[in-house]
Amino acid sequence: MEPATDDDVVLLTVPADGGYLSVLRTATAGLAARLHFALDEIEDLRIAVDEACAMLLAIAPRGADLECRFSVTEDALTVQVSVPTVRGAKLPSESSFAWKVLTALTTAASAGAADGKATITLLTQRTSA
Amino acid sequence: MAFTVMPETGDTRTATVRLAGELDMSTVPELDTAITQLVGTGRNRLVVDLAELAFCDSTGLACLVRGDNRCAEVGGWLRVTNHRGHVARVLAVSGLDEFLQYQP
Repeated sequence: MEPATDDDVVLLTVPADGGYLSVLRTATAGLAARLHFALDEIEDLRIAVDEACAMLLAIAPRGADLECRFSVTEDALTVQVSVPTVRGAKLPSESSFAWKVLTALTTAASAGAADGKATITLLTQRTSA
Repeated sequence: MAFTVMPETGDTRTATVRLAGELDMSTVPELDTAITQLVGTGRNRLVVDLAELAFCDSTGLACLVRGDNRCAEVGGWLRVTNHRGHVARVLAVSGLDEFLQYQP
């Protein structure tokens, strides 16, 4: 899912605090609108990003930053969100309700952990013409 | 849009709670508190009006289910009404719309 190098990339770093979820939702909707996603697709992506960030915030230490990387191609938006994690913390399993929401609302969703950071990657392909 | 919880007490057992704005992990505690306060005054039948709610995620849904459980512990229920747009879709995707739908 590594995007090509000529994508437009938007980076947004906010404090890992639930109060900033609305900012990330708004940014997501704005970028999806730029790609001419349909209104339903924008709504789905908005909630997917919210759910992914909420999962990460639950395992982030106080005072951490939440990093979002939006990668824009002609017909797809890839959103990668990551936080440093508290020791021993784990993301919910892929059978959890939150994961079911993520996979239902996006083209592809995946999670990974490395170097003390957890990352969730969401890919949404535009289906409308 | 700021999140607001507007409880209106009906008779001694019922209350309507109108929500406006966005219900997510940062605003869920406000709704939790309002539900706890209403149940504390003996109201165990809560109708949550979602007409002006613009956003709800799974933490918001969990809060509504928690509220219903809290009411059920004292012989009542929590139901939702007037959901539309995105909020209606989230309730439908989760299957909670049938379970939590207010039927007067």
